[in-house]
Amino acid sequence: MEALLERILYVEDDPDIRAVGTFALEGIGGFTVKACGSGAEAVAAAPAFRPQLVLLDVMMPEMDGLATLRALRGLKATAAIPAMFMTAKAQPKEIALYLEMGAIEVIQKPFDPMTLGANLRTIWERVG
Amino acid sequence: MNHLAAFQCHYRPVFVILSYTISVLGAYCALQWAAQISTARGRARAVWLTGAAVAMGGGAIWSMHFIAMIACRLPVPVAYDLLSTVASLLVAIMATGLGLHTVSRVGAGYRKLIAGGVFTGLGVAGMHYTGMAAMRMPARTTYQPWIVAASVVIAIVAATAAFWIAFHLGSGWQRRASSLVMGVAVCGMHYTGMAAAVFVATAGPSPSEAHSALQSDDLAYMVFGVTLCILALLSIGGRAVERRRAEDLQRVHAELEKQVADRTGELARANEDLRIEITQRERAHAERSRLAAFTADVGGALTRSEDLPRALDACARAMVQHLGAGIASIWVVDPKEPLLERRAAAGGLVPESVDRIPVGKFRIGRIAAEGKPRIIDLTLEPLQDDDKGWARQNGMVSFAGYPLAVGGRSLGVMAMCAREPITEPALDAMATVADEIALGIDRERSVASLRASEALTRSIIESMLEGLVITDSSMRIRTVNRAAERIFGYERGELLGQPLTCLIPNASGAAPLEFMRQAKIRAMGRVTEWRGRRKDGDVFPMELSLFDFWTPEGRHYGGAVKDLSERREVDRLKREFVSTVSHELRTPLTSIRGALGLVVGGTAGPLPAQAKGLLEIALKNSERLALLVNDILDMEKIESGQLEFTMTEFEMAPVLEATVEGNRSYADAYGVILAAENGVPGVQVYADADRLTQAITNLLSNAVKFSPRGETVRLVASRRPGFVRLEVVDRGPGIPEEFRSRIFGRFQQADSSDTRLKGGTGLGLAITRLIVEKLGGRIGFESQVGRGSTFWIELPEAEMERSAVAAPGVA
Repeated sequence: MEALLERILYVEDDPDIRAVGTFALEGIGGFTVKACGSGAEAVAAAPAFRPQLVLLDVMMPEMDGLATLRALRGLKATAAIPAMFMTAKAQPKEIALYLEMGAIEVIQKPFDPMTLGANLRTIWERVG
Repeated sequence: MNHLAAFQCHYRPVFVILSYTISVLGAYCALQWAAQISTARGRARAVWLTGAAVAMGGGAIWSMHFIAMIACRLPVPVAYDLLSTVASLLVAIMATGLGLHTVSRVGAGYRKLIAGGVFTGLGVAGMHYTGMAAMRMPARTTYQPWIVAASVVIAIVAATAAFWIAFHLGSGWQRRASSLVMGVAVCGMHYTGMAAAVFVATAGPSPSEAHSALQSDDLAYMVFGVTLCILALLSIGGRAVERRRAEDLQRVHAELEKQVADRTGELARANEDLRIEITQRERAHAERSRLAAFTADVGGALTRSEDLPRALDACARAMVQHLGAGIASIWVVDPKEPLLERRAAAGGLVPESVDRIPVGKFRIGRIAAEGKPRIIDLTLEPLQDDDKGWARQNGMVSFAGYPLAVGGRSLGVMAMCAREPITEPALDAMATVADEIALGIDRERSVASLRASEALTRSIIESMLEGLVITDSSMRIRTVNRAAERIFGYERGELLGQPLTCLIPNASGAAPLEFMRQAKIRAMGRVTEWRGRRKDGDVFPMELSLFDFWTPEGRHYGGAVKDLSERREVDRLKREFVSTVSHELRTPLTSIRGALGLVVGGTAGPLPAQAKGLLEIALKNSERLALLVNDILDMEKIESGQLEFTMTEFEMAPVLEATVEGNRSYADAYGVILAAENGVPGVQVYADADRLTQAITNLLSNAVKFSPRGETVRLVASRRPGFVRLEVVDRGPGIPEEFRSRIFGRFQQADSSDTRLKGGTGLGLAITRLIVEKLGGRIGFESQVGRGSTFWIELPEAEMERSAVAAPGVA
């Protein structure tokens, strides 16, 4: 992950949050973003989009964030892509679980759209 | 003419009569005196004896003889020799005296009577023949022997008969008869003796030649007269003396009679006294026997009877049987209200209508209230409402009541009515058993109270939702309640006697005492979480608090057990709920806050100033709402135990520094300086570092918010014995007095405008206090209005906190 962070696969089932998040990442953060409304959509789009980072909501119908991450890990093309969770479910035990699943960070909702991009870059650089 | 001729006496009747008369009178006088001889002593006896001898010998015998001799006419002149005549007188007196002496001796029997008669008879004969020898006449006297012998016999028999009469018959006619017999005897002897004499005339000197003048009739009269005078004097003297003696005797007799009467009276009085004493003793004995029987019956009834009513009935019956009660009753004070209830009665005729009496009213109620016994005469007392004349109608005349009390507590009254007046001893008898009956009532009451208390305790224990397991000192189960049966799935009988370790997983192999030693260290006097094991092997979380207590059987341990399985399930569901709510609230908040942030940030182009101001308000409040949601969720999680605390041992100083650094940008925004003063280098605490950081952050952010710009907020750490003290010191406005008591409450701010001016939810200090308490510490503050405040947290040092010992079953 030496390259600068540019391509982000953003998965969020809530359309309003997805709109705000997408705007924050694209408009303010300057990233190239592929926004998906469900886990299945993300798993389908990821190989073609080839993101550098997957930003996942946790609580989603049908395929939640953890299942989506497992699915991405199951695909050869996406198995090594770093992932972050952005969730309102951020109890210490839950955070520990996410990190155990391979997430590099957990961002709590609600987030500040104006600083979201900067925070992602900081984390990207820290994780290196 | 000189021829010899024999001749005999020719008596002149007058002189014979005189001789017999003087003989009778002399005998009478002699017997009068002789009667006194046997009762007299000493000189008096000699005087009486002499008098009697003179009267008999001189009067009755000699004078009779002399007159009889003068009465005898012989054909020759007769004279008497004086000396011989005097000698015959003396012989008569002495012989008679000897005879009287012999006969009158004390205890004289027939032999002495005969001896006396012989002496006297011989004396009379001697006197007669001596007197005959004194005759001086010209004739020779010869005697016909058989007639002489007859005269002597007659003298002896007559004297003996006279003595017998004199000493065996009384006075009066007997004495007079005796005198007549004596006279006949003396005369008989004399004239018999004279009949024995035959005179033969001789030539000799005539009597006139003799030197005697005792030969005229005048002499006979003179002798008769002198003798009569002497006898009269003797008789009068004897009678006087006899009368005086009789008077003396009467006096003595009267005195004796008086003494006898007095003595008899005394004896009669003593006898009466003795009779009364015997009667009293018999009564006392009967009373004692009755009392003893009464006491024994009551004591036996109280000892033997299985229940008090039966014992009280027996006591009432004993009052009827032994104390004479017509009716007896025992009343007991109701423990709940001031009423006496009749618990026992005997004697029949019990008025059924009155079985409850208020304490203080009527006879029985007053005795209970005053605690004093009473005996009441029912015939004098006005009618009572409690019996309405019943007692009188049934012939009762007396009432007695005795209070039953223990230690000054009135427990009841024992009462009785009787058809006879009730006496003090009956009341005393009631007194002797009152204490025993009262103790019986008190004992029953204590037992009932104890049973009720025991039943209550048992009900409480059996109704407890918590399981209760009691063991003895060897950890064998002695008691369990229903909840414990339900929790562990055993029947009570299966658990009793089993080691306690059968209820704890991984402990069945452990020695019960070793397990208990460890359990005591961890759970004695505290509520701790353990794992229990049910009969089916299921292991479940349980809350256990141990306690110990002593009984006469030794030390026991008790464990209060609460099955936490359900609570844990609820907790899990609640956690899910909190998580879901958290997500569902935050999701729209995320959109709102994000969208507002983007708009206010100008991403959608420049905004009119007024619109931007309004949108900034919306943004700020969306952030505040997000914080509020976080704080509320935190509160709920802490209180429900869902907020997990990861307790570790760590060094305090780095955590404090990181916290200060983490809050520095926040302080900068308020223009406040943060400073840390670490006085605890190297000190370790046992806590959750994240939660401690959260607590300190709350205090710091509060201090920053309320400090004037340019002021410094200091975080000071110091070490105190056994704990670490953290202080957040600010120079703010201080906390108003009226707010201090509720500063750690929810949604509390000193000024409601603070919420708007300073932001915050009003939950920060409440959350901080909960966190500190969960960490085992304390929180507090000191404040001066206008000078600033100091909030402090005290946490135990690690060495103090690490006391938990790993034990089997510990959750």
